[in-house]
Amino acid sequence: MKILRITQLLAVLRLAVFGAPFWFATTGIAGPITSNTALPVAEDVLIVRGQGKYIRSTGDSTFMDRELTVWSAPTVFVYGATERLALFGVFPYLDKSLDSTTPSGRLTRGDSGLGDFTFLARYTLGQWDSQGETLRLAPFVGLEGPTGDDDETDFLGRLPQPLQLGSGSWNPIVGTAFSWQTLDWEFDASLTYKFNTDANGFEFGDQVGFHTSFQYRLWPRSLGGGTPGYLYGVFESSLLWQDHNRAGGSRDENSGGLTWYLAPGLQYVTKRYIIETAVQIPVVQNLNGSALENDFIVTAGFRVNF
Amino acid sequence: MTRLHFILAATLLLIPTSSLRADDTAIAAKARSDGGQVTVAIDGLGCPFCVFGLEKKLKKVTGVKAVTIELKTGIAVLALEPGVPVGTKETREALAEALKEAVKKAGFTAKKVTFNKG
Repeated sequence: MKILRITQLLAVLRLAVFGAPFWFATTGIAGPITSNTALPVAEDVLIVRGQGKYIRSTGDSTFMDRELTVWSAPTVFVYGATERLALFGVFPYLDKSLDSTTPSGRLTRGDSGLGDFTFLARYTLGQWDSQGETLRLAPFVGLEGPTGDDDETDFLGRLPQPLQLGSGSWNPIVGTAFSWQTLDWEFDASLTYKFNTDANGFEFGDQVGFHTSFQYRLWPRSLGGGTPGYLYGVFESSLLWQDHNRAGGSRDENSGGLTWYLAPGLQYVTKRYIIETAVQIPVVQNLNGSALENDFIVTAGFRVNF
Repeated sequence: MTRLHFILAATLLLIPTSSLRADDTAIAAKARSDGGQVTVAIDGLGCPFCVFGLEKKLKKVTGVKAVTIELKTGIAVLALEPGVPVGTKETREALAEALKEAVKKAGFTAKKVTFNKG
């Protein structure tokens, strides 16, 4: 039994734990589907964003044949405190499940519930407006707090940290977003750094994300009067890097690395709401050791203005 | 619970959108019929979702009855309440300042404010 527990522990510690499950798009304004924007939130306007993500990682070449499935549903609240200062709160719901083959047969471990809360404050530092066009630069700072359970257990004992819903740690976030929007298209870029700190003797590696997004109005082909709904074709890129995790003070050589996702998508935008979907496909996965590679991430969501 | 979120999102996909254009047309008609009308040229407006906050701020300005926004030209057309004092230069300037401030608080840049008699 003890050998089985050790085997299971090692198996899950080798998960690729960075990427989309821990990298939510916090923007509520029109803009990218999988990352952030610098577009404005009007003072006293509240935007609620709901997202569903399905993340699948398979292809384990070892006898354990690990399969990781994560359903995540982050809910984002965005409030315009002033015309330049926007406040973001992200509450993710997570459902993590890892199947693996052991000497005792196929086993499933995992948990579901509220994950770690993230608070962000974004300030519009630069704004260049002309008729039907705007350029914006908006840095942001934030903090991820340990609202998710980080001490869950199952029939094998305490779940390894990557399968816990929360990290147990307070993790600062800094970054900046740039947006260039015209009546026909929009380009967004954002750079984010997350400083992961230690909790329960475990520390996820720091994360860096560089995201770009291009949206092009497919319909209506030409603009008439009033404020018509837009159908955007979307193409996004996410370059994600994570440092090695550390467990008990030792570096986990089977964690962290570089992943580059490309994501085609569609977005329908009206005055009141947005509906959107995208599929992130990993085109480069240069992961350390035997970390499990990601197959794809499907995202669907909506945003509503209040 | 997670699947519930997905079902909710899928339901929202089915919300009809045609009513939005109908609202715009109704507001524009109201603006024409009431007589007092103001237009504000706005820079920085690029997509429909941003229009919501702008409309919300402009509607809160005292004396504004209805707002419609022409995205293509970046022009907000405002219908004023009957009896709103815009007869003198001072009253027009005061209203223009209030409208420009509302546009600024929505995150955009107001340019020219024009008063039209209906």
